[in-house]
Amino acid sequence: MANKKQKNAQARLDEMIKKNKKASQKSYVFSVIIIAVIVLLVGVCVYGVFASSNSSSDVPQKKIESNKTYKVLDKNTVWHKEMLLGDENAKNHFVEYSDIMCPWCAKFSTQIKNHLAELKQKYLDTNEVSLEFRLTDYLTTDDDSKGADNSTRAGERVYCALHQNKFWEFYESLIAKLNEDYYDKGIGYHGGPQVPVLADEYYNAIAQNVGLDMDGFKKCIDDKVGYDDIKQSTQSAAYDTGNKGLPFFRFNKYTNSGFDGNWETIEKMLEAGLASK
Amino acid sequence: MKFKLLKIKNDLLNSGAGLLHGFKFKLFWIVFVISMFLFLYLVLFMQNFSLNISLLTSGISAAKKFDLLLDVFAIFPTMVSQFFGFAVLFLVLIQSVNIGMLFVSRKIVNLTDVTSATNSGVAGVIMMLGLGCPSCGTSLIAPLVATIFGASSFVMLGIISNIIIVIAYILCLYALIRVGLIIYLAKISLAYDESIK
Repeated sequence: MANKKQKNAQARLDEMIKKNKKASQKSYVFSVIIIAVIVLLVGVCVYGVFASSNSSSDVPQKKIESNKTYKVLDKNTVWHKEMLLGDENAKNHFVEYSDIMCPWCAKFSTQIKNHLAELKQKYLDTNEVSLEFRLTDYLTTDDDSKGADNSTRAGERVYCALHQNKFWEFYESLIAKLNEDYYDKGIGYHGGPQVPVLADEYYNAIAQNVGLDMDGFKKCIDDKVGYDDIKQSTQSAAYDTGNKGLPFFRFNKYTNSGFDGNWETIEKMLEAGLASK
Repeated sequence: MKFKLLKIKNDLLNSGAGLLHGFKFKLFWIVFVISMFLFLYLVLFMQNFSLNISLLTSGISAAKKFDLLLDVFAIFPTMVSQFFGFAVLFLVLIQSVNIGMLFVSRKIVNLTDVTSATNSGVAGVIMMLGLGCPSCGTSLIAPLVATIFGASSFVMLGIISNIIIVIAYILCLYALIRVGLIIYLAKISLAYDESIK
């Protein structure tokens, strides 16, 4: 019985070796074609990354869901002084485009908050650099059932806080809460579980905590003031970022999309931007 | 049909036995560790491809560029905590086992299975294409997809990279089962050769 099993194994292995020899002859041409296609594809992708990082699109590629046309904000001037760290007339202007529902943008904001003293001492207080946050709802879609419209809703509310001069308080509290509830638990990233639709209560609790005038806050949302602000920012951002993904950074001639969550990377981006002037 | 299912079941069991046998070889562990390290480094670098390239081609000092290359592993804990990141890292693990087993099969029967090697290679390359964060623009295929799909590229990128990873898993697992089976058959056949000597 054992002998039969062993003979069968030998026969099957011989057959596999025979087939393998045939396959290796046949697969030569096939492999060359596959490798050529893959090399071509990778080449196009790498070229695309280089081309996209070196050029700035003049055409907004982001589809703006709103039918309203907004005045496009000048990318070279400060959009909202309330969202600026450092002096408006600093020698260099570092811009970050973000979305509240972008976990990597949240990591950037968290690193800035954690290293603010160092940032101030090295760059902001010396008037060497100013850092501007530009909030968009790039990641929004019409499919509210998956919570995707969170981007617009959160953006509206942040702008409504800004109108009460409480941008930093509201923004930082919201990011900290999202980190705690979702991002630090691996929720909200590509391919995994997404952040559910956040109810009004979620934002209202934060608004109350930071001392916003709740009637004014609700009126701002109802009157679509915050909505118009976030849509205008997104439309204006499309001209600068060329739909390259978030967080998007522009610092002098240095531009980049994507962030790895490390403070050291921010320092490197600052150095790269200063060197690019 | 029943016979075919039985054959698949047997092949899977035999392949598992073959893989367990392969683990006993020192050669497997050497190749496994080396390929695991190389793949992991490549995957972590590719995860933030556009960011890393933009900094490496910028005017920062050579020391900072070198530092950047060493810092690639810093993203590992964040990647493990995400579903997609974990799926990719697990694929790297399977891929490394695969390569180690291919070396073992070559050693014991002098056979480099073309199908397994091709599948493994193709899986590795397409896995690289699916890496990165679609909405961050760090994915390698981002510019290509953006050119084709324009406005809806963020959504399309997410879907495409998910499909890519599933295909890579299928190719990789198929290659692993096949190479495991070869090792099993070789083990049995070598035992047979010994017994008739």
